[in-house]
Amino acid sequence: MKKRITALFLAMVLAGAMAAAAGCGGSGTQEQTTSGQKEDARGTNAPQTEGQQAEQQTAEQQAAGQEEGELSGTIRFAIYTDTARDLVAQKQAELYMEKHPGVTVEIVSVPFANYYTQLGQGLAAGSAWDVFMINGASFAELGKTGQLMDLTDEIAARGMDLNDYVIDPMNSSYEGRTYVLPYELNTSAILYNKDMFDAAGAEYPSPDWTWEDFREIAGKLTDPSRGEFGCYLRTAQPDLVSFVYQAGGALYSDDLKTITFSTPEVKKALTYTTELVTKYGYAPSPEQLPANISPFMTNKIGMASAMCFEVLAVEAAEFNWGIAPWPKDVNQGGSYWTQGMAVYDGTKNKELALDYIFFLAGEEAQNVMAEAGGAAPSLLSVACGDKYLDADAPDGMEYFVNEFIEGRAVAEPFTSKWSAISGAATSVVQTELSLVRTGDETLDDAIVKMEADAQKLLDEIQ
Amino acid sequence: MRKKNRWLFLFLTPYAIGACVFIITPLFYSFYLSFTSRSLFGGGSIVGLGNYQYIFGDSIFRKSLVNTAYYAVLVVPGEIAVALLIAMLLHRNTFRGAKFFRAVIFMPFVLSLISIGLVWSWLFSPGFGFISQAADLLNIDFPSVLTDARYAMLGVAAATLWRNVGYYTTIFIAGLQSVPDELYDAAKVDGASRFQKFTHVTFPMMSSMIFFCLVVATIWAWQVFDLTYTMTKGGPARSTLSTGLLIYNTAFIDNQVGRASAQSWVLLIIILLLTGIYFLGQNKWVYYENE
Repeated sequence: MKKRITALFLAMVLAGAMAAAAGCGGSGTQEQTTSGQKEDARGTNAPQTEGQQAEQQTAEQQAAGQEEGELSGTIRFAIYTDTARDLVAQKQAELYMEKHPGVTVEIVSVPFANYYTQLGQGLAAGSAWDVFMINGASFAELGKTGQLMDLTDEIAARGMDLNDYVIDPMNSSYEGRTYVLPYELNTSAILYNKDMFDAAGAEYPSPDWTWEDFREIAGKLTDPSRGEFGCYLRTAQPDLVSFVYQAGGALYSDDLKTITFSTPEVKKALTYTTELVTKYGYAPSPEQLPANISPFMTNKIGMASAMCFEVLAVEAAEFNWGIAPWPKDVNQGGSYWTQGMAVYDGTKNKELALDYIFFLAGEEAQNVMAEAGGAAPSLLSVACGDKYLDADAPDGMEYFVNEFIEGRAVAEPFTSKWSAISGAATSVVQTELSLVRTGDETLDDAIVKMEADAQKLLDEIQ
Repeated sequence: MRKKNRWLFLFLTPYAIGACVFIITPLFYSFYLSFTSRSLFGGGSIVGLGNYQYIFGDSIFRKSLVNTAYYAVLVVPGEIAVALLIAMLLHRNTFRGAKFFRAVIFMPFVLSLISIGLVWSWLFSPGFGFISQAADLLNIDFPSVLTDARYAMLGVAAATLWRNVGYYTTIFIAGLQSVPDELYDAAKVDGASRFQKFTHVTFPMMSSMIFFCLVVATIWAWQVFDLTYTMTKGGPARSTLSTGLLIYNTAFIDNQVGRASAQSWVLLIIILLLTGIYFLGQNKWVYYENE
């Protein structure tokens, strides 16, 4: 009997650990921290403990005979892990530290999947990163908690004009106060596989191509015997918002309080994209897609949408490719979003954190981002300048920026329910549209269901 | 006696501290959170039973429970049966290399679930994966397992089976080796067939271990998260959305820690109920040597 009681207790402990997990946060996440410090005396960049860093910093400060009032200390700047972003953030940090010898900027690079989990844990523990990237969906939740530093007065004091940047007030301001500064501009366009175009004898997309042209070319590129498809269409961002915008519609009302999936424009866009899968077979259905591989990189997809920050990864492709603008229906253009930066209100080095965030938004740091060629800088004068669109940029890179210059970009509708409505793989929209594409549900039924479920989620915010 | 107690407390203290900090406190804290609207970033207020009312009316939560139950039904009997079969093949060194295979079969259990998830998604990948290419060579029309809602959970279950069978096999081999030979000799004298030896000697003697494995396998199955997260992210069309993954999504993607805590508590109660049923039913088939 004792054995049974012991076994029952062990089983309860095992089961209980599951419930405990949600209360104390996830585990097993990856985080890479790199300090932008120069090489030490041994000529190595070996990771240092906090104590070692503090000692070294103090020594450097003393050696430099630091003047009173000079910024000093260590801050952490957190970004989503990405080859280009890591490089950009590191270079920006080095640039800043050259000017401020008493400062150490640590770059904390966290995979997007774990990023906001770690941010939440840091906030709960009162030790969040000093400065960090933040997107619109998370700002919608975090902006009202009072944990972000109010930057409004500092923006005015430094004479910064936010009109020089691309940033949606909805993703940066709460009750008239600004908490987020612009960092990156993430725009979308179409990637096309030049080798597949050449093999099919199709002309490369023209700047003013239409939905009909897109469909016709997709048909030419499709070869079922070789498992090749003319295009790949995502069930969510950026395709959903982009095609709806092109059809002349929107998924939400302007105030983001009402779902408008059943409007004729949204239905037209969804019908067009669905038929490319189910009626024409020019785009793969969900079960024809490889799991965990970028479809465009398989060399079996003729055209696919991309965000500008995805372009650097595509440069590893073993085929020739180019970038085209979105095709036109009523409108031409596609979805974009911005990545902002915020300062943790509980930071121990407010002055330094503030100075650094304004440095990152400044022209010098934005130029560093432009030179890397991944995400576009949010400072428009730099995004449209030579550095971002230099000779090494892939063919058609300018289309990512042109959407803005010509006013043909539509903002991704970020609310705190964005992931549940359309952002995540198990979201309302992605689930229903996959069922439509596999033929398990009609588009009309899916629209009714999506509208009802999404509105229910949206109503929770209000 | 007092001195003995002092030693007892001394040895128990490290575990007790760990259990308090890492299990009991978070457990009660998550219970408290389940009655709040706490977001991942803080804030929120007491909402009473609001989270529980929401999740019981939520079709996605119900779907996740059905998915998890389906996964458990696929995995638990499969793991136990396959592990028992392999253990019976390997425990008496009936063929050359049996010792080697005993080591090999345990190896997948040492690998991280994330790596296993990635490897199996590649294996199943249509057009590129090993399984798909092998099927092409043999002219077999093999479905795209992980991207087809009808088969995706089977794919996740296959990866789980491959990973966990070694663990149960090792336990069963140890169990089989502890069955006294005299019992088999006695059965032989009584004229028992091989099948009768299994049902009347091996199974009863192994029943406590099978019971342990059954309980552990069921708990693990209901907690499934890593493989559904890595292999399918809960798709296609939520066909592999396990409750563990839904809890993760609710807490760390939708930022609703309060609601996720309520979901965790419902899952905990389901697991405790199932475990309780197992314990109530064990009198009918589990044999403890010292009873």
